[in-house]
Amino acid sequence: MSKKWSLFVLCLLFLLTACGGGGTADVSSNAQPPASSGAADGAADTGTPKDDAEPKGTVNVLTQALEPKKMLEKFHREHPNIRINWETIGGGKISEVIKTRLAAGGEDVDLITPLRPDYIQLAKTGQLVDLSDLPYLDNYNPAVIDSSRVDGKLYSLPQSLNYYVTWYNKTIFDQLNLKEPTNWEEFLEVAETLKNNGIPPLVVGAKDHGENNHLSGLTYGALLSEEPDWVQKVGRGEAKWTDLGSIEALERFKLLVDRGYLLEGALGIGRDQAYQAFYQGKAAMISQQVGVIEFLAANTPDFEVGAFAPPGNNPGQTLRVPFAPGHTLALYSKSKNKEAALVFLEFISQTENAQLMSTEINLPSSVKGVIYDFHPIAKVLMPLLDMPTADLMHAVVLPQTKPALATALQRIIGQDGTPITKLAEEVQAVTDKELGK
Amino acid sequence: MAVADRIVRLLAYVLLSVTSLVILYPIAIIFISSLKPGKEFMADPFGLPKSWTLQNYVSAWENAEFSTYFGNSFVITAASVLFTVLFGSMASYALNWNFRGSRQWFSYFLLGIMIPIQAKIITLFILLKQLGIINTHFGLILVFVAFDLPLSIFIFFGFFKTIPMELKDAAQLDGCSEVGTFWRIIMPISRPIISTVVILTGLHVWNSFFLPLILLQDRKLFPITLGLQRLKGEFSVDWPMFFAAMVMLMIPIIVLFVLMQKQFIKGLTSGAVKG
Amino acid sequence: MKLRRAMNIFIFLAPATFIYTLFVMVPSISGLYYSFTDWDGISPSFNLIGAANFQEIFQDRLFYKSLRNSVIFTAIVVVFKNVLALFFAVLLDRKLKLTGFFRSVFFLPAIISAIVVAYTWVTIFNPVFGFWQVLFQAIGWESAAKYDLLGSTATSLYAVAFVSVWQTMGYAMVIYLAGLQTIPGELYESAEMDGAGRWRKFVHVTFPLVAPAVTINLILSTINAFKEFDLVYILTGGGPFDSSQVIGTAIYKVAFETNQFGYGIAMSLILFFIIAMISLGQLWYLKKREVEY
Repeated sequence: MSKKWSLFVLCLLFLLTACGGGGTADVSSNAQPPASSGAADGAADTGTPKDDAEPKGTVNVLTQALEPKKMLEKFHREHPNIRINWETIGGGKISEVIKTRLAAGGEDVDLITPLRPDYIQLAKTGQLVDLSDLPYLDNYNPAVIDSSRVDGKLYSLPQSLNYYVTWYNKTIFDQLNLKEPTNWEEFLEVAETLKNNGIPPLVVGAKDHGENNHLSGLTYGALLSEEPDWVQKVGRGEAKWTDLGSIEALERFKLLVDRGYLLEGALGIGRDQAYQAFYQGKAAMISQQVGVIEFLAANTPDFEVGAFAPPGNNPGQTLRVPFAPGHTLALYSKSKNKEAALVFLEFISQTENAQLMSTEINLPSSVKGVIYDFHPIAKVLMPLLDMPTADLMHAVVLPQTKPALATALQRIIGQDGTPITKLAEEVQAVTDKELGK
Repeated sequence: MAVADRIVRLLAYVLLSVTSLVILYPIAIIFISSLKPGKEFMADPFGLPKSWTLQNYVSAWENAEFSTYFGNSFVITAASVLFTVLFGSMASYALNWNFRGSRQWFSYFLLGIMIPIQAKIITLFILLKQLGIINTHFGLILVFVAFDLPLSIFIFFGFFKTIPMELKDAAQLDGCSEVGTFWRIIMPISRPIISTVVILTGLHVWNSFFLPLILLQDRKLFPITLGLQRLKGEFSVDWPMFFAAMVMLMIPIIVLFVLMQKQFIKGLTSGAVKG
Repeated sequence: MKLRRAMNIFIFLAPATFIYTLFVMVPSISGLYYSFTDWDGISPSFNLIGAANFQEIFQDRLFYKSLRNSVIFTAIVVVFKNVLALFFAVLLDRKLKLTGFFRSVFFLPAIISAIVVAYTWVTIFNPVFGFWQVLFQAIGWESAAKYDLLGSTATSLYAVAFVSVWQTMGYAMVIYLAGLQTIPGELYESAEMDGAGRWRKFVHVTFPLVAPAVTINLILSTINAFKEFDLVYILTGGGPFDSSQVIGTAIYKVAFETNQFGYGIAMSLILFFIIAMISLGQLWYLKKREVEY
């Protein structure tokens, strides 16, 4: 009974204080001013004795990536005073977990991999440490570093990269004597040949929003070839979904649907079923992201798998690969273990360590020199790394625009008859609203 | 008369069989798929396995660290169920005395189920943190009890109403206090209801994923539902292995259900009324 | 006497009330505070904006669409689920050899987590190679075989309702079974002696006395159907084109996916009021019909 009474008293006390503090997610009121200082002067905030030897501490990593045990073992051997506590948050809930912990004061939060819209918001509100002056940024693929900048400064290190890839069934291609298309016209020819031979050219899991956006990267290729950062411009209000190039891209998307190049039933299947259909050879191509390799590595099809950059460009235009950082590791500005975290960040930026992580958790690393050897199929991804880049459709970081775009694409697939210009206007209306805030 | 009766009986059996098929088929898929190697499932999700394997179970057990997490799940579920049943039945019993304000008090308890969890989760997290019980089994159990009390009270209340007053009066005439009456008379005849609440609450806590995810950080404390997340990749899921894990997860609840089921024996209440 | 009474009330009600108030009501009320702000869930500060969120909700087309879908969904699920559950509970309320088996079988779906349930049904309904196709092609019903249940706006909501009934019918049945246990056998005997057949026994003995279970199930299934999230999210994601978007998924989408936390909580508050009104209304009505004996 006494335990209950003490809890009761505690609660009374809590209630008295809660009414004042309950509503304020304004965490900055009782914490240090956000540390946007460069990496070099983290010591002042950590509270650890200024030591010429190793910084000490436990660094908590909150991420959706799987735990790279071997790499961590190596780290712990080389840095015995620092402990890395790797917390994998699955189930798609990384965003909620991060938000909840930050709202509650952000204790035990050091390194996090926020989703892109959250990342940008965190950076802009001063909750992340500025990493722009780190000396080893050259270790990284430059395109990925560039896309991680917010207002010109870098607030996270991209552990992996992501780009759009059109995976294809090479066995079928070889049977029909098809070559990898390098522009939109060639792509249409390939698709037509496949169709005439009774093989659905493309499969997309249209039920899941993201899948539609990834596929649209193909049809936006022409626009992105001329203006590689067009998507970011939309996010800043400098371009619109209703621009001519965008309308044409959407018309091309509609073309794919109208010519019957998409496997039937797209709206009723999601990502998993689309992968499965590709695996079963029910469609010759699936144009999504690098991430499909995870599935292919676990379920290697009987046919040979190839990959090429989605050829959305017109003949004569440069073929660009829509490209973006994958997991980006950011350092929370109120972390109590900044020094130790920075040691870890430097560690994972070395090629041999990044290689360990990449191989173990099947991660396409963005550190230069890492070879994708975690599965034979992964090698087909490497040539695309050297190609010129453009924005990924996901670079539209406005959280409401993404699903609005996806819904518009779903409606094109559903052939509900809405004119393309009207769809574009509807998406633009959402973007305008978001930007207006 | 007899013909109509026969037709009704026939229809009943038909419905019974059809429903059983509809229910069993997907479950059969889950079970059979757990015995297939991953590639075979990908190629043919519906057929019988060409090569039966228990590898999925082994992998699931190891990768999801069942040995640690099962224990946690048991502890959390048992404790949550125990206190939910205890406090819930006590509260319902009192609410049945129809004192002034008891209806409102009852409705007060009902409100909890109606609020979607998204509205509560962040402030709940902050609260537990300030009380110092975040990231503990104790804190998690308290939250589960709090969340399941409305259901428990709701069910107990409905059934306590059907217990005839004579029973209570007889006990009190014999000198029993309220607590005594509650413990020695009411609870024993409420076995079917207790079983119901045990199963329903146990099920809810056992399968719960979101609450432990947010409220626990220390891996050693995780229930098995969180362990299952390690079986999911980022871009894909190994479904046969996941199914195997799910089957293993289901077994304790099925056992619980079968055990509790035995409580649904007619005649328990009627005997007591007469006596 | 009165003091003893009060003490008894306190002893019996204190633990539950205390825990419930502290861990459910307090967080909910402070949580609902956010509905008056423009917090996006991730910035460290936000502004109080009064009732602006609510005004916006009442002009939000998606909100009305989700609400409409939720109402349809709830109506279908509650009716089918309870009719079937009660029917099977009555049927299985005897100690025959197979009843134990059937009861367990019917309860099984409730034990499986929503993720697995949803994925399995997605696979069955798969318009490319699902069992649905196989089955209907075997019967020769081509057009049904080709139909994309989850991907068509006309059927997406109903398909989800079906899966929901599939999953939770057993749960409701268990509650009905428990309710049936409290009906003394003698009442049936005396009804039989009066010459009552099966149907009349049901109408005059069973149904009135199983009323508490009916109340519980109706209210619970209504509340749960209104809050439904997991199944919809995984089966259809609310689509296509929001044809199966229900309030539960809309709130999640708004609060967590599109970083409009304050707005999402405002929607939760409205949902809460709707549910509260309906449930308390049901409670009041059904309680009147319950027979006390």
